[in-house]
Amino acid sequence: MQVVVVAVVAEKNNILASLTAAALALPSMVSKVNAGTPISQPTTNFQYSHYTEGDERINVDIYQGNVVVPIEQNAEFSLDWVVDTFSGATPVLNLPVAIASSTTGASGIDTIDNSQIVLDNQEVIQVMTGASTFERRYGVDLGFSYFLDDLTLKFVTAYSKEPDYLSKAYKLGLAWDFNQKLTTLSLGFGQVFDQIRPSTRMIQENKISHQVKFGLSQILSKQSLINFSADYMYDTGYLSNPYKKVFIQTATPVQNLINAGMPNVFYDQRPEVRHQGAIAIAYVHYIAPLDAALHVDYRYFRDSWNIDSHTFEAVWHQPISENWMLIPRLRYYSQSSAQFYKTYFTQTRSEPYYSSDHRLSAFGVLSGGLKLTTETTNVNAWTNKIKFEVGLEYAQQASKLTLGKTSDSAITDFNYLLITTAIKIEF
Amino acid sequence: MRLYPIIILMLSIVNIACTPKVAAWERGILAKPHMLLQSNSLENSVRQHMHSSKEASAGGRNAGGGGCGCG
Repeated sequence: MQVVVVAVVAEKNNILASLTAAALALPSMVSKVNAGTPISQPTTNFQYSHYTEGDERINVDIYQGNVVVPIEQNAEFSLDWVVDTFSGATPVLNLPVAIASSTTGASGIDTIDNSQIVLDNQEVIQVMTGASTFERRYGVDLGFSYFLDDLTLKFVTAYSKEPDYLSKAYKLGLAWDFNQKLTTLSLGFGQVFDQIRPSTRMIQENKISHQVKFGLSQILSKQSLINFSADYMYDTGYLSNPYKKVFIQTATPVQNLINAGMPNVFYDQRPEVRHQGAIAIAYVHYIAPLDAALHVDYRYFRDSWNIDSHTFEAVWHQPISENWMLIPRLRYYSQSSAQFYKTYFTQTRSEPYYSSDHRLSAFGVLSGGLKLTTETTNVNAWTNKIKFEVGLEYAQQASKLTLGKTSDSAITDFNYLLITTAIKIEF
Repeated sequence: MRLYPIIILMLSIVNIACTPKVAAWERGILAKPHMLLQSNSLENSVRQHMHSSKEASAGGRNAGGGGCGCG
């Protein structure tokens, strides 16, 4: 299938940022519930990351920082912040080229030719938002941890704001060391409340995400440990992407769908409930002759939209001198498509759910990265340690990389690069 | 419920794992920074952000600490 990319008249594009605001909040909420002891001195981190996709199609600059301050002997307070700026264009619609090309002018696609009959697996045009979109997001997390002898309690609250998306969240976590501190059991519960006001549509929608997490880490020997985790997530409310559109070949209006300005083009519509589950295993092993550590992770994910995925990741931590470390990583990810996803629809479905959002398609991602870190200790009277990091990660996302067979279009294929630099200071 | 076999498997592994005891003074290697399950929270956060914005999956990140009990 040949892929043609067409830039269409500028349309406000918040796709990446708006869809991921809640997703961003969730990982930060479930990050670490470490049983252990509080830090004794304040620490602070700052990180700058640059994400670029395809031929500079999307650029994101991410500035992050955090401060952790001990409170007396058995508690600590943390503040995390993030500012990211997004610019570029993303796909909003796939159109069979046979019906779009005849009306494509210099300013983009104005309408479609309904006299043609569309069949499956035809050549497709990917309609993009304009390339001049610019958007900024602000986020802050506040955390409080309380340490008892074998127990750590943590509370985190998070807030994230951008022009069309507001997200508020909280999380409670508990971690318990037992079995002479060879075993750590952790439990977490969190909720995220999102408000979506797309800039191109007169709608205001809400979404609530609930998450329950169970984790178990176990020391296996003097040089190996293992971690299991299980997550259950329940999302309810507006789970569609307000900017994405679908083409549906139909002679009559489609029930419950909203027309998106052109004949047979409608806004993306997904179920208002989504159940998600994930189980993961992580293994860490020390390789004595090289003073290195190997981290191996696997995750299986499944949801009620019929998506399942497998993620494999391996990271090697190799000290190369007293204060320098080299960290290569490899990751492979593969997902199946949602039951209501198609590149475009040649007929209506029995359920009123349709999406051509490529995130719901079947694809695989292969990525590799390299990071270099160095640290200096006893820097001066008030600084105990300074650590610098620089890393890059390159990924290829393609339908042909899917585990097993897929008939989904290669139109979603792209590459991306992530560059990070970070500094950590311990006082 | 599909989670029950997984939980039983986890508890079985823990039971087996608990047999070889590793005393507190034998956990020096486990306390090394590169043995931590998550070594840089900001980097993890940006990577998870990137993956969740491009992929349809969520969850599965490590919930527990290294559990080395070194502190």
